[in-house]
Amino acid sequence: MTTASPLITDDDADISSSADEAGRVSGGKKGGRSQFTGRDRTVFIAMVAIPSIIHIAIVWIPTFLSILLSFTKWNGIRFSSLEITGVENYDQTLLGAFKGDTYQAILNNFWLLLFLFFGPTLLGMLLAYLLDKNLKGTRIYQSLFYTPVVLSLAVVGFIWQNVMYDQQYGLATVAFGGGGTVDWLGNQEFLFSFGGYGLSKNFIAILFAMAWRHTGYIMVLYLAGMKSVDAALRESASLDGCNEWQTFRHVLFPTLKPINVIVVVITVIEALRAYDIIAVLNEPRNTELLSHLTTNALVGEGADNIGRGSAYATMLFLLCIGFVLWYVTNHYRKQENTV
Amino acid sequence: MAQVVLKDVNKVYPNGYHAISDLNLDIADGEFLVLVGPSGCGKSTALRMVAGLEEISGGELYIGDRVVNDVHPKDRDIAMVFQNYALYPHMTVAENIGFALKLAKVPKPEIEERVRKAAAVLDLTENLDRKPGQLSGGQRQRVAMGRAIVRQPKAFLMDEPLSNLDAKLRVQMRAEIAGLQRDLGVTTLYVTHDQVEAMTMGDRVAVLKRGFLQQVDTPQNLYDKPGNVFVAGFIGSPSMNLMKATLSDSGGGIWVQFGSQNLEVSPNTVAANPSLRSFVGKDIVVGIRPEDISDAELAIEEKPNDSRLTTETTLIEALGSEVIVHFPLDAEPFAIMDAEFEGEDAVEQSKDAQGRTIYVGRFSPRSRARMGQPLTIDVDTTRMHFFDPSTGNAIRG
Repeated sequence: MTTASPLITDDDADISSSADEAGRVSGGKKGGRSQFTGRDRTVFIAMVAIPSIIHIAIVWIPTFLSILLSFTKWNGIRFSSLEITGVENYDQTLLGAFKGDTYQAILNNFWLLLFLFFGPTLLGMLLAYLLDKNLKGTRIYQSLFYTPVVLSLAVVGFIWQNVMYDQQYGLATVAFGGGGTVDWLGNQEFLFSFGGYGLSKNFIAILFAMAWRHTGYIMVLYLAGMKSVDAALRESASLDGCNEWQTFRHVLFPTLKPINVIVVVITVIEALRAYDIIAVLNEPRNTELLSHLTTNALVGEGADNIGRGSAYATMLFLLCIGFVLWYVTNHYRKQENTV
Repeated sequence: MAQVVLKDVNKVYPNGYHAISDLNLDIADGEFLVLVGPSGCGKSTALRMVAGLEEISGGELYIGDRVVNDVHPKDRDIAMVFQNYALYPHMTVAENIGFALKLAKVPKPEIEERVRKAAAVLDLTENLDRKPGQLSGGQRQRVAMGRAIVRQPKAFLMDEPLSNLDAKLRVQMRAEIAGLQRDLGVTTLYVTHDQVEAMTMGDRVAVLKRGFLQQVDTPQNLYDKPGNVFVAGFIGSPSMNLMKATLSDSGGGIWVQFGSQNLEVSPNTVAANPSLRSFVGKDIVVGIRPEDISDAELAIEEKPNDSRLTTETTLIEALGSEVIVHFPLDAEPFAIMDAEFEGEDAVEQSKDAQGRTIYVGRFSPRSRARMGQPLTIDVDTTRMHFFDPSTGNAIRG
């Protein structure tokens, strides 16, 4: 023991002297970060500055330029052809010649969002709940449901076009076609409509194809969440008098809040950015999405005005940013209130 | 409130592991029964079977007069306190405590009233609007208790509820829980691996080893009259010294011989346990509690040599109120854990350089024992324990 005590005093002295030093330095300068050396500070500044600059350069500057472009008419080749046209693009797309496409696309984006929330999300949650019960072969089911997620939506589109929706031999045709042929992807009739806009039958067919992929994604997220929930919580709930549904409703679901947040964000992003599956399947009309209109106006056949594409892109951007702002402020305010 | 009875209860897992074998326990109405044993002994399994969280493979479980083997946990009317408390993280303290009442559709004003009362008892009133994440470990523990007491259930089940607390808080909560249970008079089954908790809290203590019940008795009886060598070694800290010895009959007295030294068994002990005589000339296991060993230098009156052993001090642990002294004897130790038991509790007894086993005595702090110095110890020969080495059972009667 006698040998150990001087060591401890030495240590103490070290600690107190460095604390003194820090105190002196921070006393001299304003702010509490002075315990870092100049070199540390350089590193910190570099670590913040470099990613910020890159981020601004490749995300925000193009975004800003796109918004500017939406007030122009330009073929995208020569700057000399660029004309400033003010709000003409918005006038055309929202009130003029292209308004049919625009509103149907916005509506389709909305249907997609609604569908992803009530279809794949609930189904994915249910599958996760069932798989979490550790049934026999859970891993096999898990892999089966998750496999579509690794495919790109374009591939999903091709698979469904040929395997499910083939007009004669498709699985869906054979199962529900009553022996005849069904043009699943070509039927642009509205299931229901109002004022010339609605939900077209071929878009519904596409929604199902997207659900096939999205369900597995949601399932994996919830499954991971449920696996990490303390088993004692459920046991405690059942001793408190919960039945299966009440346990889920009052205990499991609320504790999955972080997962719910991720799922909401992912689903909204997915609904707004969906593009490839439509690009692959969109021969007939009424399945347009905003992303699709944007791209068509920029690089599609007969694309003559980058300004109009930019106007669509700006609308999409406003929808996104609106959601993000609403969500972030709401979510963080709630968190601040509870913690 | 009700009695809880386990009748020949068995638990066999699908993989064939027999966790509980023919467990019989009779917990009287209002009794505090502690189930204690080393890790892996099946005590938590037994508790979870009572809760309904584990299926019962065989036997019958009664809560009150009703067989509840196949009754869902929510219909058993029992409250459980979990080791990690299992508080609902998204609910406030008040919501946590009142949750069971809300599910039972108790009117709101009554829930509030009962939650308020429980919180007052547990000193949680100021924390009712907080979430579990904002509470200290001790406060969470209280919330878990509050959740149990607010329901006025037939029985409390507690699964090592103090093991996540620091030592000081554990001692405090130990007394609080025991006091609370006494006030409420709710039948309680309490599981712990800590024999101090078991001894201080329980009206009775049931000792479990590898799924087999070893002994159920009051704490004092377990300590004074352990039924077998396992209970003898498990109850008490430091553990009872258990050594292999032979009994011999000489000059009318019975002597215990281990290694090169002898102790005479007190005539009273022999008179009270005549069956000891049948072990004369045979191997036997002798148990001596550290507190029944004292420093001979401190003896007030000169004791006869037949209760004295000479050895030397190898280690001293001064605790202030007492001194734990380690000393070697050339008596072979008796390991309480059988070889097949691979629990963490199977501690190999330490030996000194000459291969002698180290035993432990609990001396008065006035003892002048010094490390490496010769030591003479007095053994209270009226308090020696004897076990049959073939069965491990105490030799009594």
